[in-house]
Amino acid sequence: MSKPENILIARLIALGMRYTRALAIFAIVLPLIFFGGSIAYHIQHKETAQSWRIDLEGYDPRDLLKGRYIQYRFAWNAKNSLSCDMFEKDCCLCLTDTNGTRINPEANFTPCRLASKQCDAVIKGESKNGIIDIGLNRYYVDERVATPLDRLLRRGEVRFAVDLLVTPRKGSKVYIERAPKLGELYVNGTALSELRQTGALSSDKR
Amino acid sequence: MRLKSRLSLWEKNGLISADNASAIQSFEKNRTSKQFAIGFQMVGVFSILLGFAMVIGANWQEIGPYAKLAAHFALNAGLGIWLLKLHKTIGQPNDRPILREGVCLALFGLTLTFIALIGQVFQLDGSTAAALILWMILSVPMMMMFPRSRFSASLWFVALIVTVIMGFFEFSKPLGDFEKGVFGYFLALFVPLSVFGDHCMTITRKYRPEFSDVFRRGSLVLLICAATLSGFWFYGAGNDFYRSASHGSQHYLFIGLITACAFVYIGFLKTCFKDHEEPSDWTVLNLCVAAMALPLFIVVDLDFLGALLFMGFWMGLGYIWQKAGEDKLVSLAITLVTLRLYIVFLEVFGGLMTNGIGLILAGCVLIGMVKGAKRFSNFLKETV
Repeated sequence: MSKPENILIARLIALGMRYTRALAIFAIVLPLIFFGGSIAYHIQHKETAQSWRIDLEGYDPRDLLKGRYIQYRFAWNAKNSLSCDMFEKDCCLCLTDTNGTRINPEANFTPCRLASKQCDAVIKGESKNGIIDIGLNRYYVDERVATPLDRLLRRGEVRFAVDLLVTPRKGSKVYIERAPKLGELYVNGTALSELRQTGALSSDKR
Repeated sequence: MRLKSRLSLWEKNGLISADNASAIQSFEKNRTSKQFAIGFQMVGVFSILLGFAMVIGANWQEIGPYAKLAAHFALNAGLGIWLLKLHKTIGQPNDRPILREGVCLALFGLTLTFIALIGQVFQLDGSTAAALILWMILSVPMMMMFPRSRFSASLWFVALIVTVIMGFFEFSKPLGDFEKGVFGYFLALFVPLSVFGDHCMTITRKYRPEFSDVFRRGSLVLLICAATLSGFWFYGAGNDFYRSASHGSQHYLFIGLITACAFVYIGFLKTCFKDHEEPSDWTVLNLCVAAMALPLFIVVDLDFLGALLFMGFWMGLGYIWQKAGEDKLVSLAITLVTLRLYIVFLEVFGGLMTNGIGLILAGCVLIGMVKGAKRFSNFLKETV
């Protein structure tokens, strides 16, 4: 143990042994702190975020329910035909509250540097084959609700929508939302949680 | 039975006394008697964790989302406190190693299910790979601190490799073919080498010998598999990887740089850990790196070269293991080389297989080769 590296290793081991209790507590507490912080952040975001209700599409019955989540595509209410391809990575989705309800708002593809001046909410996106992608395409549901939802869809009479939670505008400053979250899911304008409470989605109903 | 026959052989040759043989036998019997109980208890813990994951996956909504989160948090915190208490008793008469190991593994698994639950409750659209990477980061301090058994070490090692593979496929999506190939080559070399480095560390060998052994074996197995597959891949579909580089020199520069770094790293480990108990490992590591790199340097569209590299690599391994006295591994190397030779024969004379003569010839050649390989193996054993 006379070599300098061996002495260093021996010292490190001695230090580790001295603080072994503290290290053990740290190893246990680290994930708990992360989980606590993560939950607090998401709750806080949910409470302060502004919700925009967006219609959903792309419900192919064969692909709709993959176990416990619904896969969907947003049906953006786009008025202009401007493609994001020409702006490469500087591509944002500009939401404009045309009817004052934030339901089915006008959503256009715009360069991010222009979006903050004209839009009520801005979401960072990525253009994939001419379709804007904001990275959200699944909604988790109770496995027992899966079958009734599938049935409702196959009737072809229902409209699906979801609340998109984004950081609200503060005065003239618009925040470019990079990771929007999902809120409530709506089936024909009624929230999924309400449908469940009334028993309208009971899996044993035919 | 194998131990019994070996002990009687040693006793017969005067290497050990009858008392020694009996003492060794009773020691081994006592040592392995716990394996059954430990194994089934660990399977029980695994089953509970799987059940938990399924219950969470079902997303049962009679329980409110915050209640689910609070219950999971309380469960993890409770298990954490219990684990701390059990850890405190190490080396004392009331030490319960099996329980400690089970609690630790349960906490390890529940860390992953908690990540999944948060994603589900807040409708986060993260990928499985991202969840696995987060799981590994959060659980590394815990898994380095508490578990001691071979089972836990193997489980953690498998989880690490699965995470690396899934992470590679997820995060290399936006990369081009060449960048993807370089990134994959880097990971295939440096993930096992880093794990081997961990095995070499004095602190791992001294305080977690089972982990150290699993890391050594696991990293060597990974490197040997990667080196074996490297030739198959490159002389198959992987040739496109070379063509995807904007210039040939770009390919050689990056591959050369990564390979050189790997050799330097092995040299560094060898210098730092001269007291390593298996000196043949350094040669195996160097041979693996060379076998992985060679197909990427010899860019020709020739399947036969892949076979030559395969046989050369496994003959090299066989020679190293022969010198190290690993007779089982020598047999494995000889068998694989023999089989590859047979496949070469089938590839070259495959047309004859359409008639019976071809089959008879192939059978005779196979029998002859196996006999020859056996003789060669015996000859090598006798020379040592």
